[in-house]
Amino acid sequence: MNLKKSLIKLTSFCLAFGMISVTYQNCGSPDANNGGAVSSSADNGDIIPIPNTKTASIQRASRVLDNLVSCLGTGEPSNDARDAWQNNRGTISEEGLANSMTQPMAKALVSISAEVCDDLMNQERSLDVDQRRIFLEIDFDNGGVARSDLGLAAKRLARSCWGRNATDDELGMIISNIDSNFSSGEDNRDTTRLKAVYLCTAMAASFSTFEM
Amino acid sequence: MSDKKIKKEMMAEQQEAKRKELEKNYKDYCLSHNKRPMTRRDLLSAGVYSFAASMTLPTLAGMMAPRTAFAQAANCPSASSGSSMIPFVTLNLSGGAGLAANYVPTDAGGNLLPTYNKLGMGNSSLNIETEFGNVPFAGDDGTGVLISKLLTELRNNSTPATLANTAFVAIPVRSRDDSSMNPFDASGMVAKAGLVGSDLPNLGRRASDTGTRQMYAKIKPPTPLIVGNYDDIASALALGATGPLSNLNDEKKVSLVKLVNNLSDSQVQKVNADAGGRMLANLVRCSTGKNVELSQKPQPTVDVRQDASLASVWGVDGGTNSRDESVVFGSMVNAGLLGYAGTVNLERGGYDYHNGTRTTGDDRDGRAGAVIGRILESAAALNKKVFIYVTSDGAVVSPESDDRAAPWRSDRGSAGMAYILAYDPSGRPQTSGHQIGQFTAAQAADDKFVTGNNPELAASAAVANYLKFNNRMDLIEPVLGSTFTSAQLAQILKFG
Repeated sequence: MNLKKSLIKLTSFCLAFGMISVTYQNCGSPDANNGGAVSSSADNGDIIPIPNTKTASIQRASRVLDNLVSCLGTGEPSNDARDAWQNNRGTISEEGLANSMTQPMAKALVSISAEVCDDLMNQERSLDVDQRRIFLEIDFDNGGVARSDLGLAAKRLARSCWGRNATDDELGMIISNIDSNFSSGEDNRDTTRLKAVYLCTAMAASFSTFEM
Repeated sequence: MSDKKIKKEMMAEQQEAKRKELEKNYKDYCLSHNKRPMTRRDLLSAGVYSFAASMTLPTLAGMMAPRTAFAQAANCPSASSGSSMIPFVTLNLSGGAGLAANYVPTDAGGNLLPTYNKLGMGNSSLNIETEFGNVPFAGDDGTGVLISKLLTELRNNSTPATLANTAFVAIPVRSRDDSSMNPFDASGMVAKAGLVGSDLPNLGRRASDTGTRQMYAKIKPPTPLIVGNYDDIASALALGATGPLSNLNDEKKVSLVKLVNNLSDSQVQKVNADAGGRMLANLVRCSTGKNVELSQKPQPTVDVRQDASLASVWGVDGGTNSRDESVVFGSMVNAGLLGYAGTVNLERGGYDYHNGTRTTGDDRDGRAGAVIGRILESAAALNKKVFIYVTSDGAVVSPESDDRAAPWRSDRGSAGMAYILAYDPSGRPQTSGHQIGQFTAAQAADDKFVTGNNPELAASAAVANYLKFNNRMDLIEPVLGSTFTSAQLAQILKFG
């Protein structure tokens, strides 16, 4: 009899505990269904969300090219851009999970970004200045690009792809890197175009572009 | 920073965020209601109960899931971390190959079956040809020609010295005929064991989860790079080998990667402050930082056409088209053997060859043998160990006949089989047998044996032996969990 009572008590406690766990866990959490921050990973790599916190994640493979094309405004990607995406998508996370970021993926993002940036440069160099979106001040048919003109392009790229203004630190990094890598002796049309692609690739392949 | 410390900090960050939320809710409530929350209803409204519950009670999922993510994330995977695991190459023969008509399956006691007349080898008095030690293959058909064309071409494409250092084990297993639903793919388990490749985690030939026409067993593999031609691997391995970045010299390429790394490093500070973002921040730093490291090294070359010894193994030269199967297979295998790629998944089609003849099947089997021989010979040329896993979907049947060259008439998945081979340049890996499970007198894989009726368990058995070949039995539990009991493990482990 006592054993029966104990079993009933134990069962009741377990049921109550389970209900409390389930009931209270997400109670009053307005964003409970909107994903959550990564708290742990099961052995199969699943991300377990925590209520009320944002899930740290990155663009999934299928969105990477679309996202770049959209933020750089190039419209239909060229065959080269599609090929770069196709050749590299295998190294990019399908789900965009935070724990899937890898070195081959970082490299793939640079390769794909470079192709879409090349599309952008080729499109803009054939447009009148007032029709361009990013490289408004750059003369693609001549050498010599002013630092300030690169800076303006960088600011537009940041607003377009990062969804925010570039910080002074970021602008400083970009301009000083380009300064130190392209000497004035290289001032010609090809270098101007290369600088534009270089600048665009560096920004488009950096974390803020792919952050979700 | 230690894994524990990161984990602890993460929890502290989450608790702090919750505390701030509570404080805000409490203040909001006081402001909007002009009183302190006192009743249960007030406290629920102010979010205090929710806070208390979430702070004191774990989620059910959280209680059940192992908390390992931060520990994993805290360590930057090394470019060479995969190299400690032996290269793993899968060859899938799509369509239902007669693997049990090349290797000669035996019963539980290791004896020949009463007859092989459904397996296209006639009665049990067939001649046996041994290779890889004492492994039985379908031998002389009476005219001095081996019945097993797979063994014939395997020998034609590898040296006796290489075969002398190779072990072979067959896994009788029933599988669905002509189906992409057989969970034979072991890449996910092998990747989990640590074979990741320095640049490409997984290579395949077909746009699927596994890179072949097989489903994955137990663990989803890293998304494979689908290799249609050699250029696919080259462009994935080398940054700026083609396209606009090819206009940059090596110094500028390194500089560009450094700039991406520096920008990303400063940008991840933002998510670093978010609960849960530390893992991503750490991985971004690891991956972009590793890119800088790798971009400073010479670009890897895995093109078999550029390596005289491997070109000879695969029968190609500088003029061979980059889409040629031997160029693609050879380069994929080379990438795996050199550690640039993790798991390598090759596939050949045309193995649904029951067209009323034996000719087509023999030709396809021979080609499969040639590929296996070339993989072994590549490993020998590079002085590397390799593990090969051969799969198919279903199998074939001949009319009941004593003819040792009986034609293939139909599908017969109950006579299915997989092979595993292991090569070690220092000598043949020791094995305690050459068959996992057995065939029955009905000439079918014994479905009573643990792996006999389940491709997923057969794949797990292959992985268990791979881990044993790596001398990493400590990985059995993390990779396979409780798939096998110790008694079953003793039955399926043939290596060592």
